[in-house]
Amino acid sequence: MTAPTTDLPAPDTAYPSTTPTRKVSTMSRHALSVLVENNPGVLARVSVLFARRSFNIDHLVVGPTEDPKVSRMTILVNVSSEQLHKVTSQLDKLIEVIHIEELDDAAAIREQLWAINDNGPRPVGAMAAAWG
Amino acid sequence: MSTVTRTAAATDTDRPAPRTGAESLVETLQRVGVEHIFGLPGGAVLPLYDALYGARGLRHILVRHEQGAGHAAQGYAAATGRVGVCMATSGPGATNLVTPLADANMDSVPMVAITGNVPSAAMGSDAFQEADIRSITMPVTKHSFLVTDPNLIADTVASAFHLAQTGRPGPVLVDVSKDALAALVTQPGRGELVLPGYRPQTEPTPESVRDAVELMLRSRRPVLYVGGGTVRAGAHAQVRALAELTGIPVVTTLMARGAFPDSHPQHMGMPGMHGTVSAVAALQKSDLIISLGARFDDRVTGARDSFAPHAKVIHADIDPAEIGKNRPVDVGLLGDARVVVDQLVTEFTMRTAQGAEPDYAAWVTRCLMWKSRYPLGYDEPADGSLAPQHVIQRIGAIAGPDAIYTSGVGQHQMWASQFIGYERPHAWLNSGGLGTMGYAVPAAMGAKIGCPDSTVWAIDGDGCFQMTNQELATCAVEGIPIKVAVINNAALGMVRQWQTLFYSERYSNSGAPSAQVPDFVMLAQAYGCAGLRCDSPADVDATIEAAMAVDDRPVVVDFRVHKDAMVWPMVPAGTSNDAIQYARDLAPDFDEDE
Repeated sequence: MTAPTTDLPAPDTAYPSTTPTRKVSTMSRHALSVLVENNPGVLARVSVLFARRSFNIDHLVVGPTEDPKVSRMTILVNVSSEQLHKVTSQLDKLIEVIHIEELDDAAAIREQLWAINDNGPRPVGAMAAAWG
Repeated sequence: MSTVTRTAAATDTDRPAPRTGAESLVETLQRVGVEHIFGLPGGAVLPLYDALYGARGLRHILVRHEQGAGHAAQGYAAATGRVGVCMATSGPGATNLVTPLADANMDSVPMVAITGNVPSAAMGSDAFQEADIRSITMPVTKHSFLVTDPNLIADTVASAFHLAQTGRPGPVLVDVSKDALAALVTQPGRGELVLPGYRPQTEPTPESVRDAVELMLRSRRPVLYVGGGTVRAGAHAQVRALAELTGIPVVTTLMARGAFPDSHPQHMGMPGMHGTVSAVAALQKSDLIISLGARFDDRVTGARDSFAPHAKVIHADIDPAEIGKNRPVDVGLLGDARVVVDQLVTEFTMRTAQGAEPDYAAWVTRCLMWKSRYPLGYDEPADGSLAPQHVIQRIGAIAGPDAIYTSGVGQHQMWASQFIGYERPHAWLNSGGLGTMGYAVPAAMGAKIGCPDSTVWAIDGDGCFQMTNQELATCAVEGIPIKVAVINNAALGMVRQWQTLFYSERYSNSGAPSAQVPDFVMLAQAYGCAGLRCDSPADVDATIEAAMAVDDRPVVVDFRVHKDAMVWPMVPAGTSNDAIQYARDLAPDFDEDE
């Protein structure tokens, strides 16, 4: 009610992490590609885990893979490498998580996301903009 | 027409008879070897209870509250090493299981909870007694399933048992909609689900074993930090072999009491907030911590930045997420504790045979000095009232190391971990991680079902006892003769101790001035149990003997103890282990005789 709405960041800017305990100096942008079983509830399970560690997910895209039983989650987080290692260890414990990979070339990801966006859904464009 | 009938009959003899989802669930329980279920029925789970009616080889124990069913399943599992099973209906029945599930998750207890849910068509409509228990339990279980297809019930339940007892053990919930329970199974599954993301690693890499032993050989002040994982893995014999082969001092955490015999000369006691001075000092001053199935919990480490500042760390665990979680490691050993410790023994034996000569003599002498200088002790109350530590010590001495002891959470729990001598694993059951008041009575009930020939004592506080004592009715009706010692100080003792020490004796809501309400002896009798009372040191032994003599029903002893007794030693919360107080305002000097 009291929050001035005009101060909201533009839709395509990356939101800063609101977590007070993070040391800003050690934080950096990471992209995780996570293969999960395509079951109801799996997105909730993953997001609950991030929330429990007070990690803000900057962007999250879930899509199908060539295997209908498997989905791919692409998750962008702004954390330190050490924190990232801990959260991926916990993520790996989830029974429905099949494989986790950190995507390391930020620029390449952005270009690929823009390429996809040319003839794809709008959320991918928002994600690509976050890298820019 | 008649031909068709004959053909159908012939087919029936070849194939299993048509069965409902509930029947397939019961068959699966029988197939995986379940003998006991703790539960309480309700509307949504009635098809399952109908299938249970008269099922061969399955005994269902009807509890008075679902939380009791959950803790009973935990106690059963912790005492026997087998998977504990509990069952409840939808909505409140299921949510009452959340505390035991969270407890089992923290303490890695293998357990399967089965709940009924409203029919799948009603899900999401805020139907009567509907709760999304699969989602509610996501952060507090190893895994949670929701099944709405009768064809998937059997495989899912079988997979739940597989998940609960392999890798790092833990609780698994299977929620089944009522329509799936009632419908016919049309297409039986393959026996278990395919779980492509679940591949627990049980064997450490040879390099990590070599690196660990190299660190052990170079160390001068090593300590074996033994945790509850060694109990769950059944690795006590391996731990003892490693300790005796190397001569390295041992500490056992709250969850590992009994994993290494208390009477063993290498045993330095329990580390942590209320640990022995020798165990805390051994960790603080060590140059190498060999952690076996432990997790560097805050109650063990105290303030982490000053915990064991000179120690390198070897961390063995079945769960890769534990290795390095709270403390950076030098060598991680990923695998089952039995396998890991066996391989450490083999490698260490080989290296010493090849001429390596580790020298721990000076360090062992120093640890033994701490152990003899700072033994556990307590003051008898000056007014002649009963010391709670004395009561607990005598129960341990009279019931002996073959008995099983459960406890609630608080002062009595710490005294029971300190003053009872544990010589074997699976004899000490408590809520270590979650710290659930009310664990003792239902856990004792479960342990007694699992180990009917053992004496089972619940060492409980008067606060904890009032959270779950309704299960005394279950024990009385079902013939489960547990023994309960209520260490009754008419207060929430641990809260009161903190208020004494850290809140200027402002006893906000920790006292129970109406200590005689309820009268525990009359309460016991009302529940069909024997009730005894003791308030004098002279009567302690005779009262315990009298309780031991009762074998045809549960017995509750109300021990009226001194309310100002405190748990010592103590590391105040959030401070360094170096700040340990042996008794109030009495700090030991670790560094003397260095």
